[in-house]
Amino acid sequence: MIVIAFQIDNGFATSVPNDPKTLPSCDDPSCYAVARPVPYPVSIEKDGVRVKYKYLSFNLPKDVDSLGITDTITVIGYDKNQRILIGSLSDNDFNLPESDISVADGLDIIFTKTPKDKEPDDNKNNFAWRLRILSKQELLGKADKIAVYKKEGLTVYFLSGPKGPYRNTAYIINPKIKNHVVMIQSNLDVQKFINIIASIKLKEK
Amino acid sequence: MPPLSLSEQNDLRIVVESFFGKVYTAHWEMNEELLKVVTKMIKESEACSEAMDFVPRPRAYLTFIDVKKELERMARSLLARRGASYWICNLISTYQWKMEAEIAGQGVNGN
Repeated sequence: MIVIAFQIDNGFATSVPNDPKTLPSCDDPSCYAVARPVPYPVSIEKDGVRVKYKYLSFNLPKDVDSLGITDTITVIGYDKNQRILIGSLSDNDFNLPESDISVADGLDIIFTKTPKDKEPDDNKNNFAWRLRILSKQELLGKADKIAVYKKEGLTVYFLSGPKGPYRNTAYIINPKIKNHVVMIQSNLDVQKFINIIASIKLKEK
Repeated sequence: MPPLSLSEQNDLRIVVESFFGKVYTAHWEMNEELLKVVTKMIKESEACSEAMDFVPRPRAYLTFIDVKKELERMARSLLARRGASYWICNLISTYQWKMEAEIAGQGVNGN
């Protein structure tokens, strides 16, 4: 019996070789930028709307003007076209070659590792690791502030700067759920955004 | 601003599927707001500009109309190539632009 196998290019990454040698080296100064741990901010805003989302709860500014809900994202609108987006990222969101690096691991690499750190030995994970290191140039390259906060076992990576659709982004990682990250983006004033981060807690069961 | 033609919508769908995944984009409207998000992404990201082979003019002056004119070529380029820039753009689009693209594609962009 003759079996003819077809490989269909469906645009997805698994059909593509992932040879680390095809990737350039990361030489920009931003490749060596890392988020320094800073003390968790203290919540000064006692008023606000308490939001419960996934495994978290946090306060958002009140005086909400509008609420938009898509399949996976909630958009809270305020006056002067200010808004807060709440959503999440999972391993499945990345149209990338298969690897053992989860969405949370990927953020750990981007925010805490540099080309000087030890890379995984195997090709599959080495390729995925180096992609994260290379993406530091664009994610962290023009950032005004990069920080990591830790609280109640949660890790919060904070990124503020002119690149991206919103000035402020927080990625909240629960290390017990590595394949899932909560993401908050906003064009609010930085201090107001940090107040939101300050109010983050693990949701009580 | 004239709405996107059917062929422009098809090309935009190829572009956004390539970066955000068909699972998410299947329900998105291919509209001007979504094209604006893609334009901003190309303008800001060297990797995304390279991934879509967008080199006709300095990115600083890139407009929505420029990208609209180039949609077909960009879609073809994305289907044909999977280099380092493509993978990096893929990461950037997910980490930074996915939520903005989704609210544009589901018509809840704007207060």
